[in-house]
Amino acid sequence: MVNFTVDEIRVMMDKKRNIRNMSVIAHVDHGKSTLTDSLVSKAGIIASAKAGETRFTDTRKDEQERCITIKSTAISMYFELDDKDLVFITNPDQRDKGEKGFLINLIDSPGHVDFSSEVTAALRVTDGALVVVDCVSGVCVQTETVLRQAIAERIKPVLFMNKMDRALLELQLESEDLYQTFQRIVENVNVIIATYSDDSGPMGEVRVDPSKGSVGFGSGLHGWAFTLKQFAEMYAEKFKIDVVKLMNRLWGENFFNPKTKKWAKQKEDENKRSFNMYVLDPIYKVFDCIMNYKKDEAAVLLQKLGIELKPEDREKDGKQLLKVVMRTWLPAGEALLQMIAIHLPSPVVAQKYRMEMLYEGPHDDEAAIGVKNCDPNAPLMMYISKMVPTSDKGRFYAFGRVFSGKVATGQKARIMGPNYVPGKKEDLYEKAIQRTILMMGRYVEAIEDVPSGNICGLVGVDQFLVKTGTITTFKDAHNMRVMKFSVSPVVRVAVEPKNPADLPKLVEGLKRLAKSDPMVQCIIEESGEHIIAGAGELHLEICLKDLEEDHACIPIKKSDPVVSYRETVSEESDQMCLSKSPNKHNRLFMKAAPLPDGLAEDIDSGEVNARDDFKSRARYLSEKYDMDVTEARKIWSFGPDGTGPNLLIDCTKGVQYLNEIKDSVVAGFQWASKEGVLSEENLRAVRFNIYDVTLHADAIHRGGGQIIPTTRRCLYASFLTAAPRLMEPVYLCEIQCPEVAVGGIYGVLNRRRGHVFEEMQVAGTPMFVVKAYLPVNESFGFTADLRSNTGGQAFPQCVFDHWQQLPGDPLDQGTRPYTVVQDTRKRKGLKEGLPDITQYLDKL
Amino acid sequence: MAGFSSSGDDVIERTIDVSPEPSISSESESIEKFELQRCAEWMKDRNLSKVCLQFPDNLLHSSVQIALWLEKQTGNKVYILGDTSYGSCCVDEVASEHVNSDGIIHFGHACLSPTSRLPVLYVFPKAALDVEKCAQVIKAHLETSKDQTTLILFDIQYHHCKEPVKDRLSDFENLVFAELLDGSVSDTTCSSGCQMSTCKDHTIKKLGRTYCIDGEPDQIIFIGPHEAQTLYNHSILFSGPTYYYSDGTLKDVSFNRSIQRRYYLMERLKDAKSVGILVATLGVDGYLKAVDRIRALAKRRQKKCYVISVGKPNAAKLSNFPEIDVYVMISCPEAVLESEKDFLQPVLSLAEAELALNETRAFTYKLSKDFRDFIPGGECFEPLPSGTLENEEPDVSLLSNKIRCVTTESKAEETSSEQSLQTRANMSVNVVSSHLSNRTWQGLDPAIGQTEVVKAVTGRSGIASGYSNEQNSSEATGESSNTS
Repeated sequence: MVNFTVDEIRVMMDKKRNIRNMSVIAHVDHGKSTLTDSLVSKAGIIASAKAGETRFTDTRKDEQERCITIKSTAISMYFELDDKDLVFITNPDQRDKGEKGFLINLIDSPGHVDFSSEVTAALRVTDGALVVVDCVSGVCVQTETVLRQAIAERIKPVLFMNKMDRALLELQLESEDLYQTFQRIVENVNVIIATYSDDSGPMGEVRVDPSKGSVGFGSGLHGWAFTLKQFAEMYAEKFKIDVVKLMNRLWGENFFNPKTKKWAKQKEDENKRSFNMYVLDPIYKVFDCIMNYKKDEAAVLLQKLGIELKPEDREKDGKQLLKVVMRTWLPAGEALLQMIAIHLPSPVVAQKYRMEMLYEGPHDDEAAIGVKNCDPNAPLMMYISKMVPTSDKGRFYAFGRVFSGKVATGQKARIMGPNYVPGKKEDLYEKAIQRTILMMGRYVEAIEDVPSGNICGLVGVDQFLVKTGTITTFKDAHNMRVMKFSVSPVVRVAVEPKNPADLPKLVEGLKRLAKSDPMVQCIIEESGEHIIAGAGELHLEICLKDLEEDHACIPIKKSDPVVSYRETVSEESDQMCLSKSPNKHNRLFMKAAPLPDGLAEDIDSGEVNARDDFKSRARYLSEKYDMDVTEARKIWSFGPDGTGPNLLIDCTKGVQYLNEIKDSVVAGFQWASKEGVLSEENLRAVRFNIYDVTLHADAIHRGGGQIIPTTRRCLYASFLTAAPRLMEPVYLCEIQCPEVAVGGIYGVLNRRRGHVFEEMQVAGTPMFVVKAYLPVNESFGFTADLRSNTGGQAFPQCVFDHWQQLPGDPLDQGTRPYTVVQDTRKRKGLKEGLPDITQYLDKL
Repeated sequence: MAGFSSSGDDVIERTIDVSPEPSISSESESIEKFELQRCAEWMKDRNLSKVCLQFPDNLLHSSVQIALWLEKQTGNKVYILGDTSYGSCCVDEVASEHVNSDGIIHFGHACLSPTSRLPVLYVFPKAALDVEKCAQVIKAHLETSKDQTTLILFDIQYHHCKEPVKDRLSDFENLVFAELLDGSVSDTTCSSGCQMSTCKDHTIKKLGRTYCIDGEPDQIIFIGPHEAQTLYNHSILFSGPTYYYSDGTLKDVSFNRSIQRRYYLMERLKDAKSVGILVATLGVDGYLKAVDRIRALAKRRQKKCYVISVGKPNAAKLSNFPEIDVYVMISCPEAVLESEKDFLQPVLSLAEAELALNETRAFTYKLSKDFRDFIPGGECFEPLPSGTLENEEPDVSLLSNKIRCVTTESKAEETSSEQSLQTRANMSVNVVSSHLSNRTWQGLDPAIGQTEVVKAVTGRSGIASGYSNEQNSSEATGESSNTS
C-alpha cells in the first residue's frame, strides 16, 4: 500500500531542502516509464512484482496499448533515506538537519521526438533530470536533444544505463566490452554536457561520473539497479577502505591483481579491471548460474551475497528467479533514490541559479528575490507549464511549479498569459484559485496550499490560459520566461466535421485541443479551413484522436497531411521596381535581395531581433554578415508579425516626409511578408531595400490609403523580379538499424529526396546509425515504408531542422515549385495561374 | 464652390470600362425595349411632374433619347441620373432629391432593395432565353426529384420568360415561382398561383423576391448565369442544393469555399479590437438602424466603433484607417467589393457580425445577405441579451491561439487612462489614443518658442489634388486618365 499520506506530503512540502523536483528524460524506448515504476513501487504505490510492467505513469489507454508515452505525467512520492546515506549530502541547502524524509516530485516524459514539447514543459518545472540511456543502443538523437535542453534550462542531470539485462542475456557481452560500452556512453554524455555548459558556470560541475555515484546501472524491466556506491559499501568492510575512496577505485583505469593484491593504473597480464572484477563479475555469476540452471551454485552464491528469498519465490527458476534475485539484491528503487537525493539539487539550490533564466523582470524586484531564495513568504510566483485534462470535459488542471510564495485554495491571484506586458491589461486576469491539487499519476489529491519549490495543479485558472502562463500575487510582477521548444509545428492537416452541422462542436474541440497540448496549433486559415499543425505524423495522429474522442466528440474528416512552404528570393531584383500610388502622386522605388546565409536562422533564434538596440544590432550584422553599417542601422521592420525573418531596410538619402510614411510602409511590409505573392505563404530570408521615395507635398495625399497598398505592390514587384524560389521544411532524420538494413534505408531515402550525410556504427554494438536530411513533405508514411523495406529493423526519429530551397523556378511551368504553388493556390481557393507582374510594377 | 472641390472636368473626361448595349437606332425599337409606354402611363397615372431616370453606365448612351421621348409624351420635366455612389443596382433617392423629384424610373439590373421615400418604377433588361430548351432541361431534372419542393428563381434579365416557362412546367406540383418585388405585385396578398391551402401570412419576401412556401424549399433552380450575385445570395440563404440554368444546361453550384471563408472572417471580427462600420448605401431602407445594431453588438464586446462613409469602398480608401481591424459593411445585398483580396482589412456583412458577436444566435450555415433581416422588425432579428458579459468565459482565438476576453478592458482605469486628455508640458493639448501612440510618427512637433516669429505670407490656394500654384498638377491628372 502507499506508504505515505497526503498530510505527510504536505508536511514535507515545507521542508524545501528535502524536495527534489526531477524529470525522467531519454530517447524513445530506452525505458523511462519502466524505470520509473521502480520508484513508484518503492513508494508503495504499485506492487513491486508488477514494477516494470505496469508503467504506472502511462495513464492513457493509448499509451498502454502502444507502449509509448505520449503525455508527461507527474507523481509526488515520499521516501526516507538511511542515516548512512544521508552523510553523502554535504551541502546544507540539500537537506534539513535531522530530516531524513524526502519528497520527490517526478515527471515521466515521452521519448518520441514528436512529443518533445512535453519534455520541455516537464524540464521547466523541475531542477534535475534522470537521463536514461539504453546501454545497447547508446546515446541517440533524442538523448542529445533532451539533454541539451536540460542543460539550457539549467537542469542538473544524472545518468542511468538501462537494459543491462539485454546486454547480458541477448548480446552476451564480455565484461570488458560492457565496461567499454558504459565508458563510451558516459563520455558521450559528458561531451554533450561540456558542449552546452562549463564547469565554471552557475550550476557548477555538471558532468556525470560513475565514481561519484551520479551514474546508475541496471535494468528497469527487471527492477534492479546499482551505483558504484552500493558496491563500494559491500566491499568497504573487506578492504578497509573508505566508501568514497573505493568508489573512485571501482571505475576507470584501475586494475587489481588478486595474486599480489596490488592496485595498478595499467592493464597487466595478471591484473583485472576493478569494475569488471568487483562489480560485473558477481552479476555475471548470478546470471550464469540462474540462467543455466546451476541450482546448487546459485544457492551458495545467494547465501554469499546475503540474499534471502521469500518462500513463494524459491520455486521459481530461469528468468523469473533471476528477476527476484537481482531485485532483492540490488533493488532499483533504492539506487535511484540515492542518486536523486544525493546528486540532484533541491529547489533551494537550483532556484538560486535558475532565477535569471526564468524571470523576465528586473533581477532585484520582490518576485525575483522570492524566486531566488525559494521563499514561501515572498509574493506568489508560479509558472504553469501545461494543461492536464480533467474528467470534466473541456476543463483542465493548470500544472506548474511554485517558485516563490504559496499558492492556496481560494486565494486571489493575477493570471498572466504569455502576451502580458507589465502595466497593461492585456492577457491579465484576476481570479480566485478554486482548488490546489497534488498530481499523483492517475489520480489527484486535494491539498490546502502549496509552498514554493513544489509542483502542483490548479483548478479554475484554465479558462484564462491557453497553454502556459504565470500566476502571481505581486502587482508589478513580470512574466516568467516562455518556454522554447526544440520542435516546430511543420506538419498540418485540415479537419472538418463529417456532419456539417457539427461545426460548432469542432470549433469548441479545437480550442480545447489547443490548450491540452503544449505544441499543437489549431487555427482557421484565410480559406476557412480548420488546420491542426503538429511536430510530426505521430503527434498529429494523437491530436486528431484526442480531438475526435475527447475534445469535440464528433466524427471528423481529415485531409492528407501537408506542409507549409516559405517564399523567398535567390538573387537581387534585376531592375529597380517602381510602384505608384492610386492617385499617382507618390512613387516608391525598391529592390529585393536574399538575406545572407544564416541570418534568417539568427532571427528565428532571437539572436537578432526587433527589440535589440539598433546600434549593437548593426555592429553584429556588419561583423557577422558583412552588411553595410549605415544600412544595418536603418532596419525599419522585421516581418511578418513584427518579428519574422525578413527585413525592410531604408536605403534612401534625404527624402522629404519619409518619417511620416514609415508606419504605412511598415504596415504594407507586414502584410506582404505574411502573404507572399506566389501562394500567400510567409516570406523567408528576404530583404527589401527602399531606394527612393517621391511623395506628394500634402499630407492628405500620402496617407495610409495611398502608401499601404502601394508598398505591397512594390514589394511584390521587387519579389517577382528577384528570381523567386520556394523553401520547404526539412527534417533531420536519424535511423538506427543493423548493418543488413542499411541498404534498404538508402533505397527509401533516395526515393523520398532524402540525403544521407552521416553513417556510422554504434561502437561496441552491431547497430548502425544513419543520419539524413529528409524533406518534411516526403516524410508522410516514411516510418512504415522504412519498416517494410528493412524487415521492421529500422526505426527513424525525425525532427525539424531547417528550411531548404526547393530547386526550380516557381514561375516556370513544369517545375516542381510551380506545381507546389499551383496546388497551394488551389487549396487556398486562390485564382490558379501565376501572379502577373504588370499588376505590381509601374512605369515611370 | 471652386475652393472646395475640383472642377469635375476629369470626371467627365474619364473613360470607363463598360461594354455598352448595342445602341438602338429607331425610336420604336427603344420604346419597345425600355417599355417607354409603360413609363409614360406610370407617370401620368400617378400624376408625377418631376421624374428622374436612373441609368447604369452601359445604358447611359440611350438616356438622352429616352428622356426626350418621355418629356414629349408627358409634357413633364425628366432628369437623367447616373449610378449611385455605391453601384447601379440601387435606386438613388438622394440624387433625385436634389431636384425635388417625385418619382424615379430605374433602368437596368436592380437589386430591388426597398426604398423609403419615393415611388419607383423598374424597367428591367430583357435577355433572350430559349424557353423550350429551358423548360425541357428543368423537366428532366424535376423527374428525378418529384417530391421535393422546388423554388424557381429568374435572374432579372430573364424574368420576362417566367410565364412561358411556368406554363410548360405545369405538370409538376411542388413548384414555386418567385415573383419580383418591384412594386407591381401587391405587398399584402400572395403572389399569383399560391397553392397552399391557408393563404395567409406565408408570403416570403426576401432579397427582392416574393414567393409562397411552407418552410424551406428542398432545392432551388436559378435561371441565369453562375456569376449572378442573386444566385449566391439565395444559395447561402437555404441549406438545400442549388442549381443554375445557363447556356442550355443545368448545373449544381456550391459556394462552400466562400462560406468557409466567412467563418474565418467572423473569427477575425471576434478578435478585433476596433470595428469600422462602413456605410455603403444611403438608399436602402433601415440602414441607420443597422448602424445602431452593429454599434450595439460591438459595444457589448468592448470593441471600439467608427462609422465610416467613403462612397464606393475601395482598397485605398479603407487602408487610410490602418488601426481599424475589421469592417462591417452595410450595403444592398447585391453589392460586391471588387478585388477584395487587395483590401488591408476584411469586410463583413451584418449577418456575419451577428453570428460572431451575438451569443444567443444559434450556429447556422444559412446567411442572409440582407441586413434588413437583422434590424429590429427584421425576420431574423434577435434582441441582444440584457446584462453585461462580465461573467462570460474567456475564449480561445483560432487565429492566434491566444485567450480573448471582453471583461478586462472594461475596467474603469483602462478607459480613463486612454481617453483622457493629456496635457503636454508646452500647454498644447493632445488626445492620446492607445493605437495612435503606437505610431512612430506622432505629428509635427510645433517647437513652440523655438521658431522665429515672421509675418504671415500668402499660402497656397485651391484644393489638395491640385493647387493653383502647382505646376505638375495637370501632368499628374493627365497621366492618371491615361493609365486607369
